[in-house]
Amino acid sequence: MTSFLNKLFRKKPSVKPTPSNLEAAPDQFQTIGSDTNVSFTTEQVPSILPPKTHLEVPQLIVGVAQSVGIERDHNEDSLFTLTTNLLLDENSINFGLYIIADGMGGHDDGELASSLAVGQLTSHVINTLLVPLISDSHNKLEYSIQEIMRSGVEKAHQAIKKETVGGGTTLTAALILGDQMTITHVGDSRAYSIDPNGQMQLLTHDHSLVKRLEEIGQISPEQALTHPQRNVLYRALGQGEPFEPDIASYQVCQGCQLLLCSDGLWGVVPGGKLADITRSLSAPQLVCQSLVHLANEAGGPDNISVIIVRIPD
Amino acid sequence: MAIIDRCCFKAGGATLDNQRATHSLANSEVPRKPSDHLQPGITLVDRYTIQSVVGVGGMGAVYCARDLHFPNVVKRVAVKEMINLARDPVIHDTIVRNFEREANILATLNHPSIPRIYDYFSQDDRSYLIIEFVDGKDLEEILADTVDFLPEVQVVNWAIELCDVISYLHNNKPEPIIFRDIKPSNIMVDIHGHILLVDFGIAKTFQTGQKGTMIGTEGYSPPEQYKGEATQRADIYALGATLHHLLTKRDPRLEPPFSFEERKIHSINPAISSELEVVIYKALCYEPDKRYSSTEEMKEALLASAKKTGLLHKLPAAIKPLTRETSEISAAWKFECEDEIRGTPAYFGGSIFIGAYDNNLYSLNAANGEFIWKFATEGGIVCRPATYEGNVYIGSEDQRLYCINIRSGQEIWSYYSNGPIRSSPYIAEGHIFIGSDDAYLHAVNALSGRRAWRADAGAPVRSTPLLIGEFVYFGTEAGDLFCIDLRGNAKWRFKAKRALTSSPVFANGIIYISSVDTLLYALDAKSGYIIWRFRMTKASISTPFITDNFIFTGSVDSHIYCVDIHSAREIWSFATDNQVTSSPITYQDSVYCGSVDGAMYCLEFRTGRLRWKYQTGAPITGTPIIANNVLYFGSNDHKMYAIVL
Repeated sequence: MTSFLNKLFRKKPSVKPTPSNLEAAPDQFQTIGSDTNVSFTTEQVPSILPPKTHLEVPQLIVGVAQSVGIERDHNEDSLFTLTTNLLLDENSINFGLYIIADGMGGHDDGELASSLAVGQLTSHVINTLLVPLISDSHNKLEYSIQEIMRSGVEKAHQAIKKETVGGGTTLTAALILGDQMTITHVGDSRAYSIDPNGQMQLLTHDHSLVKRLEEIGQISPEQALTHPQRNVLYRALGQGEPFEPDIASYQVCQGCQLLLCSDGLWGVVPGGKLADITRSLSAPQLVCQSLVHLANEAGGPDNISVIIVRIPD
Repeated sequence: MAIIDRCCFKAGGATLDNQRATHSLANSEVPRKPSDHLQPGITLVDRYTIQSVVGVGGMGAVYCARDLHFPNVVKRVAVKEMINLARDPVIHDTIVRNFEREANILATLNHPSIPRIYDYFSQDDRSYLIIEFVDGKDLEEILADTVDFLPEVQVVNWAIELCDVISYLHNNKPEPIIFRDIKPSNIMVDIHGHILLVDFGIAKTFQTGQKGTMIGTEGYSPPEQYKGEATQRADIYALGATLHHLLTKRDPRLEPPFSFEERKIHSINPAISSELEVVIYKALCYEPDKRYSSTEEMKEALLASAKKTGLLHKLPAAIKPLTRETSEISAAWKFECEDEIRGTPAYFGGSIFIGAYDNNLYSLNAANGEFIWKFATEGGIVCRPATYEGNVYIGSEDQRLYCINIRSGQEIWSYYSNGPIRSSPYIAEGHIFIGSDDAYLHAVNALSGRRAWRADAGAPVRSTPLLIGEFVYFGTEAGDLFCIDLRGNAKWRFKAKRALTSSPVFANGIIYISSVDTLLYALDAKSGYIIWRFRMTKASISTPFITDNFIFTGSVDSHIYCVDIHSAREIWSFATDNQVTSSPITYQDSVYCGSVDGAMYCLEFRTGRLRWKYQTGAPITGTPIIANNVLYFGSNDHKMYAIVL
C-alpha cells in the first residue's frame, strides 16, 4: 500500500507515515461512498496524501459525497460528475461537468424531478458538446456553451413537467472547458469558488423568497434562518412559465476549488467553516466527506450533496 | 387556471398547510398528465363540441368549443377545464364544491369587462366552465407582438378600464371578490380594443383553505400574498406590476420578486411620463398601507396624471417620445480638413493624430486644435494611427503602411501591401501587425519597415489585430477569426456567418468580437469555442468595449448595447436615430459613442440613460478617444471636435 501510494503521488520519503496512521487508512478508505461518519483531522491527511500532486497534464481533481441526512428517510438529491481531458488542436484541455439537483414535491416526484434534471442535462451536454469535441468536429460546434446549457435545462424543465405531477428541482451545474467555467443555476443549491487563501465567492444567486426578503431589508439574516418559508423558491426547474435559468461564464482561477452543494450543507454549516475545511485538506474526496459529516453532526435536517473540483495550479 | 403547480415548495420546513397543498397531488391515484387534454371532436354533455385547444395549464386546459344548441349558426364558447387529482374523497369533494360555489358567484356578475358564464358541470375528475368566447388577444401576446414599446396613452386607457372592473369585483356584495392573479395573460383585449378579465375566481376557489401555500403568479404577486393574505390591495399591487411590465417589457417573472424599484420605468422606457411612473410605484409599495386604498383612488390618480401630461385630450392619438433635456455642451475647439473624417484619432504627447479622406494624416495641438503638420498619402485614411518610439504609424487606402516622425511629420519608411489598408496598426514585440484588403495580415519590423512575415487570411482584413501573449487574433471579411502564433502559423480558426470587420478585444481568457451576422461573440481565447453569443437586430462592425462586468457595442440596428459579460444578458440598449458603426468607449461612469445620425452620445453607463448629445453636421463613424479629460472625435462633416468633460 505504501509503495503504491508513493509511486502514485511521488510521496516525499521525509514524511513517512507512522504505523498508527497506516492502520487507520484502509478503514477510512473503505467508508468512501457510504453515507457519513468519516472524519479526518488535518494532521492525519497529509500522511496519507502528499500536500501537492504534480501531474504532467494538469488535471481537475474531484471529490463527491452524499448523505440522506439524519431527519429524512429518503434522498431527493441527485448529482453527477464527469471529468476528462480532451485533445483539441494538439492541446490537452480539461473537461468537467458537475451537477447537483435538489428535488421537491410530494410522493416520489422530488426524486424523479432531480434525477430527470441531471439525466436530461447530462445527455444533452454529452451529445451536443462532448461527442463533437471528442470526434474532432469542434470547429463545427453549432451552438455556444451557454446555448447548449440553456437548451439542456429547457429539456429537463419540460421533462419534469411531463413526467411528474407538480415535481420540481433546483439545479446547479458547472461546465469546465479549458480555462472557462459556465455555471447554470436555478433554485437554492449553490456554487462557490474558494481561492488558495480561503477567500470564498458565491457564484450563484438563491432563487429563494426568504433570501429576496432579506435582500430588500424586510427581514434580518437571523430571521431568514428560522423563517417558516425559507424553503420556498420563486424559481425551480419544472415549475412555472416562462422559465429561465441563470447562466454565466467565468475564467477558472488557478489553484481554486469549486464547491457545489445542496442547502443540506450550506444551510447548516457556516460559510467560514466551509472555506476553512475546503482549504485545509488537500484531497477533495476527504473534504467532501468531512463536510457531509459536519452537516450531519449539526442535525442533518436535509439531504446533503457536495461536489468539490480542484482546479490545477 | 394553474394553481398548485405554481407552488415551489421544497420538502422540509413545510408547515401543515404546505403539506396539505402537495397532498392532493402527491396522493393522486393515477396521475393524469397535464398534457392529457381533450381531443378536438369530443362532445361534452352532448352539447359542447371541442374544436381546438386555446391554452394548456398545469391543472387543465382551455378549449374553443361549439355550442350544439345553436345548430344553424356557429356559436363559439370557451370551455375551461379543471382536472381534480385529489385521491382523498373529502378533498376531492371540497374541490368540486368550491368550484361550483364560485361558478355560482361568477354567474351573478354582470360587467362588460367580465366574460359571461353560461354553464358549469363536473364529470369524473374534471370540472368545466362554459363561458363567453372572447375574440381577441391577451396582453402577453400583444406585448410579444409589439416591436417597440406600447404607447403610454394605450396603457393608461387599459389601466383605467382595469380599475373599473376590479372596483366592480371589490364592491361585490355580500363578499368582495379578490382576483388574486392579475397579470397580462389573464387580461384580454377584444377586437374593439376593450379589456376583459379572464380566469378569475377559479384561482380563488382553489386557494381557499390553503393559506400560505400559494406562490401565485411569481413576479406579479405582492409580498403579503406569500403569507397567504389576499386583500383589495393585493390586486392593486398586481395591477401595478402588470402596468410596469406593459410599459417596460421586462417580464417580472424573470426577475427577483419585489424588484420593480430596481427597474425604473422611465430609465427603461424614457417615453413614459414621470406622472404615470409615480402612480404605478405607489401601487407597487411593499407595505400594503402605502398603496392606494382602493382601485377607485388609483383610477383618480391615473386620470389626474393623464390630465397633467395632456394625454386625456390626446386619446387615442399616438404620442411622441418626450424630448430629452440635453445640457449645453460645446466644443473647446474644432478643426476642419478637406474631406470626411471616418476614422479614429490617437493622442500622444500633447498632440492629436487623425487621418482623413483628403488623404492626409494631421497632427494637431490637443490643447487648442492648432495645426502642427500634415502628411499626404495617396489614398483615404480610415485607419487609427499608432505611436511607437517617436514615430507614428498609419495605413492608407493607397495600399501602404507609413512610418512618420512624430515631431517633423517626415516619412521614415513606407511598406507596400497589395491592397487598400483599412485595418489599424497594432504594435508589439517591435513589430507592426496590420491587415490589408490584399487578404493578408502583415507583420512588419517597426524600425526597418521590412516584412517579418505575412499570413494568408483568405479575405480582406479590416479588423485591427490584437496580440495576447504569444498569439495574434484578427477577423476577416469572410467571417473568419484567426488565432495565429508569432511566426504566422494558425493555431485555431473560428468562422462567423458573415464578415468580422470589427476588432477583437480580450478579457478573462475570452476574445470578444461583433460580426456583420448580427452577433456579438465570446470565444475561448485558447481554443476558439463559443462561450456565448448575443444577438442584435442587425449587423455590427462596432468594436466592443469592456468595463467592469459590462461589454458595450453598437449595431447597424441603431442601438448602443450594454451586455453582462458573464451571462450575456442585455443590461440596456439605447436607440440613436441611425446606424451605430462607431465603437463605444467608457470614461468614469459614462459611455461615449457616435452615430450615423451625426451625434456624439454620452450615456450613463449602468442605465444607458442619456446624459447629453452633441450634434455634428454629418455621420460619426469613428471611435472617440479621451485624454486628459477631453473627448476627441472626428465627423464626416470634415471636422475634428474636442469637448472638455
